[in-house]
Amino acid sequence: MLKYIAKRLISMVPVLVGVTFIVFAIMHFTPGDPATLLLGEEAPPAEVERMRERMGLNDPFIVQYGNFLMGLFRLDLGISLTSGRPVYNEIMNRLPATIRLSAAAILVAIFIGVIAGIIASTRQYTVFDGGAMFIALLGVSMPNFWLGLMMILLFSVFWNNTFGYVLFPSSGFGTLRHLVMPAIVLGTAHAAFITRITRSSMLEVLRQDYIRTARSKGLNERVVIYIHALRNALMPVVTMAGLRFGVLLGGSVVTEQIFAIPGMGRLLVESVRSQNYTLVQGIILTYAIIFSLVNLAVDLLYAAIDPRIKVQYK
Amino acid sequence: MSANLLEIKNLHVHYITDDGTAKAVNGIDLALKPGESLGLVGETGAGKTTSALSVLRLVPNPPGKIIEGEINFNGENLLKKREREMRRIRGNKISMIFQDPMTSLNPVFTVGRQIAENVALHQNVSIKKGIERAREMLELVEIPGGRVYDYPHEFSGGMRQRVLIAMALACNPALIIADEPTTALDVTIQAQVLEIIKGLMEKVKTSLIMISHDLGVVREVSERVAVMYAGQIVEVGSIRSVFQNHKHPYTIGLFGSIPDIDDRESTRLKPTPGLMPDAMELPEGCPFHPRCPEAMKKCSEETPESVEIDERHFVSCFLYS
Amino acid sequence: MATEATTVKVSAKRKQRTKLQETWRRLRKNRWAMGGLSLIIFLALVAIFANQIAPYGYNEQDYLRILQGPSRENLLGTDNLGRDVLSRIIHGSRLSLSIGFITTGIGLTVGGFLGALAAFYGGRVDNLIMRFMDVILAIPGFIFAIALVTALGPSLTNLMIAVGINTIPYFARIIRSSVMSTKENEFVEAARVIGSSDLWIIFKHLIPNSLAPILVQATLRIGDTIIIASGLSFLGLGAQPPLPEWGALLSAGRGYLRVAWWMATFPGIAIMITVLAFNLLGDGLRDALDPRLKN
Repeated sequence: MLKYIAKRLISMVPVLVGVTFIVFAIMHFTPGDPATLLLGEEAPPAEVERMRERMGLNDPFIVQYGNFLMGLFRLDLGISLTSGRPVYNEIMNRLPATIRLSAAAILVAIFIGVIAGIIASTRQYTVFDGGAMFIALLGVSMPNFWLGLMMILLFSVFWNNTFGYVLFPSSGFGTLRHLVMPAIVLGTAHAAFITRITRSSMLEVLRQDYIRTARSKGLNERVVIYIHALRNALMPVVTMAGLRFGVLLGGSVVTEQIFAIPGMGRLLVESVRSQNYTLVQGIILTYAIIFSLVNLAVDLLYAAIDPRIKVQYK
Repeated sequence: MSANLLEIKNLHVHYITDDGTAKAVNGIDLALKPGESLGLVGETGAGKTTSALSVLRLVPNPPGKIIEGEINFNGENLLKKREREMRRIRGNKISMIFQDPMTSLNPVFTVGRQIAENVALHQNVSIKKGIERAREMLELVEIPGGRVYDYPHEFSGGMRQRVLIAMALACNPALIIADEPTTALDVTIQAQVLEIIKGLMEKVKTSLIMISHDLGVVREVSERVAVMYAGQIVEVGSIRSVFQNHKHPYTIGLFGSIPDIDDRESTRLKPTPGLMPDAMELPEGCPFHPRCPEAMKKCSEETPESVEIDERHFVSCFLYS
Repeated sequence: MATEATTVKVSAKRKQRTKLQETWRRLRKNRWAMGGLSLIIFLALVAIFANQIAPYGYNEQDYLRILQGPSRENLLGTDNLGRDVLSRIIHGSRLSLSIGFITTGIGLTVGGFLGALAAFYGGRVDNLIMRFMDVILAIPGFIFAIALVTALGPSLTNLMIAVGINTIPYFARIIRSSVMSTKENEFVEAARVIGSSDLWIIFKHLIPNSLAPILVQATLRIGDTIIIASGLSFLGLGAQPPLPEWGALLSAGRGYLRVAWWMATFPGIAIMITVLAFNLLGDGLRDALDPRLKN
């Protein structure tokens, strides 16, 4: 198993190197001079030129990329063009909030999605099924930033107007109460997606012969569904949820923006606006690493669920 | 009055779909004495599996529905029982062995656990005790007991079928229904599995319903045989009586289609020409009449009653009434 | 030889046509999918005749009617510059629908071309193209789009390019796998035998035969790209004022949430209905093309 994890980690490297190349190239060919940005528009040209030389901006592209790549091994992502502080530190300051938000959202999504999917699949063609599927369809069709604004409108603005206090605060971060709305906003689309996958996967599994075998043993329906069927049905759910985690990360950028959460996404938007390329570059790379790690975790989880996969790991 | 372990009376099962109603089982009657072994033969789609699933009340619903009839087990009508009572019978008093061993075991649990689950459920013991029982059962079907912790994918098809047999026998049921247990297996493995079933039947004194489309298989393990056609039983009797003295034109056709290795001239199969009717559009009268070489005018108008032509040998055909 | 190839081609075409007819027959029976299709047609009509339908111009300001709630004159209220929200949404439907179709179009052509190339040549070409796609997919889509917009500068055109590039890998993958599976068919072999060029084979045989999965993917993608694009606009990285792009309308409404709820509420509903329509149709198409999947 450890050997497999190591192998998977190593196989991530070429893809991530590819990511660094693409991101670096995009940022390199972006108009705007980092040295000028760092020193300000009024800086004398001679000083800017000296800074360019110091930052290695006069080197050929490939040399600059090489230096950037070497820097990565020392966790050196360059310096923020607005604050002058190391990009690495800037990101680390903001990472916890993003991770907390995403983790909360995915937990909400899995919990709601799996249960709703099971209910829909076991009561196929009933009101429960139709209702759950329609809500799920709305959920995947709804932009999360709109949902966010609507929740603020409902639980902060209207609630305050009607009851004289705020049920869930619309901005800030720290307490559980602050996390409720952002987690729901970010998790809804994912929950809807998981509901749909769980339902179709469960319907497929419930048709299998081994489910008939389980019933023929006299097991009650709850055991058949939650033990025999669910464990088999979870495999596609886990895979798809992992692949779709990228969408959730993307959504976190907007969610952080709406609820004023001090995470990486807000930092990203700020950096884009101030043309802080080094920081943008570092943040995008961090998102890609998180996404890859989540998919590695999904792979390992997969093995835990299905004994047939484990064989390939030895 | 009933010395019978199982009595099926006038059972009708339909599959009701948007495209129409398939009449899968149309008024079958069957009786089985304790310890007796019955073979149920017929072509694919004759309603054998549906009849078997009806006994356990496991016909998938929707679309399947038991329309009418009685299924008496130890004198009690199973169709009147509550679901909770049925669960105490399934896997305990009546168990079933399914056709395809490759897909009938849950891939994510060890075989030991799957057998133990059955034991733990019905005998009120821990899973751990159940694993002990699973070990014994595996040895009974000639699989080393140490393999209880292996997963289904680590077994071959024949071994998986033996695991399923072990599972079915784990609670000493009074009746086992085996639905084409050898069909999905290689020929050599078929014989092996059949041998095991035969051996076990002698050992454990259980009643058996062996479903098959292969008369040879039925002859191996059964004392009596029932022939099904389009959801009806057209002929039923002891193996001896039916094999030597088959009366129904359909049965005659079936025997005609068994190649006789001793007779070089007759090795060509002689199945009755035509196909079994679609269960959605059954013909009026005797369902076999469109294919029957002996069909009379009456056959397309009325359904023949079952007639006893020999001791416990019944035929449903106007030729004998 | 030539006649043989022609008959082969004809039979392949015929099979395809009857399959499409069959799909349409099944699709017509699906009420949800037909609802989605009707909605899309309705939205398209609204977009086309926006100038005729909308009661006001999209940038027609009326300083005497600022931040008015829904009323008979302004069914969905007015914004901070006294512009009619309904009119802005109607005019905006042009932008959002174009964004959906154009971005998906970019992804479909470029991705389709790359995918077909990869599948057809296999080996090193395949490896190079698909590894490149893997790299793009390793960056969460929305975030990659942000990077591209940063480089290109925020504007409606750049937004479409960025989101379009984003969808390339999905089409490349799906077309690659479906070309791979049709490549083995006899009519391709036959075409090769009569000396058809590779490009001819790709465009004439392989892509048409991969139509079904592409259609489903494209329909579902349009909904996705509309959400991504409006998200970027919401962050100020897409359409710039005074363009009435729905995401931009929402972004503007955000600042007035406490005083004018209608400004943010209705554009969001417009996005949701549009995306829902494409999802309904896409789901229906998938079920109709592969009834086995329908439960």
